[in-house]
Amino acid sequence: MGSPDGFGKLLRQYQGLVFGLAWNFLHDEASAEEVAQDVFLELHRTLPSLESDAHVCNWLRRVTVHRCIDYVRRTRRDPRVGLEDAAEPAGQASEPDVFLSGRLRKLVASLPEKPRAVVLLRYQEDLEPAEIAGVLDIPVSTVKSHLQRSLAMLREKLERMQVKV
Amino acid sequence: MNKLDEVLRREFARREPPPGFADRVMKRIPKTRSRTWGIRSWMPAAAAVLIAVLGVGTWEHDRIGRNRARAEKAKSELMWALELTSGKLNATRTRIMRQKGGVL
Repeated sequence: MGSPDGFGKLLRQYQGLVFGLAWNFLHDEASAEEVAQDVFLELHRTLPSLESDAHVCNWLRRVTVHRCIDYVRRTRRDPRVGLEDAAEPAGQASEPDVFLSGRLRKLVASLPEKPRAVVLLRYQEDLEPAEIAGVLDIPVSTVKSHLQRSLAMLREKLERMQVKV
Repeated sequence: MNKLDEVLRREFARREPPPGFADRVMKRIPKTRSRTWGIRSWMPAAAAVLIAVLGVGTWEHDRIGRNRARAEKAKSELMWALELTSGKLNATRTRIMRQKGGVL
């Protein structure tokens, strides 16, 4: 895994995971690429200590999410708001699918960092709560609580926007 | 799985980065020699030099030893030859003296 070819192969294999998490978290392409590049540079330095593809994958999820959280806290590009205070875009949806995408993204982007990370790890990476707890180093009960509250908020706000899901 | 789950999975799927991302990452990888590559590169050469030095030294030691042995042999042969010559000379001298009726 430590050879240049090995690293290149891992880069191509996991760039969708890393960039996807960063883009879905930060909702900005330039920021997402900055974070994603830094993650892979750190992977290159750390690679000798990683033992398998599964280990690499788990490591990438953990480091990417933590870097995204640090990036948000450092730059405060999107001020943290409580779940209940997340802004609702104005107007009604006449075609649910057309507006749902943008509204859903904005609602998820408005979540506090940890609940946002939980939602993305659940729906982008299809991880179970126990796996998410391992990545974020938080209790499983906290993961479940974040997930439950985030989904409830999303449903409520989408209903208020009269967007049918 | 409810509809919201489906929508969320579709909306937040993995996303490929812009074109050239991999190249941009690779350009930022430091291109320095690793310490292990440096050590590995000169070890065989150092081993070869050491073997050569030991080989030459051994050969030289043997050569000196052989030369010394030849010298010792030559010396002993010379001494033997000198003794023989000396003995013969003495015998000849004795014969000559007796023929002349002289005193030794």
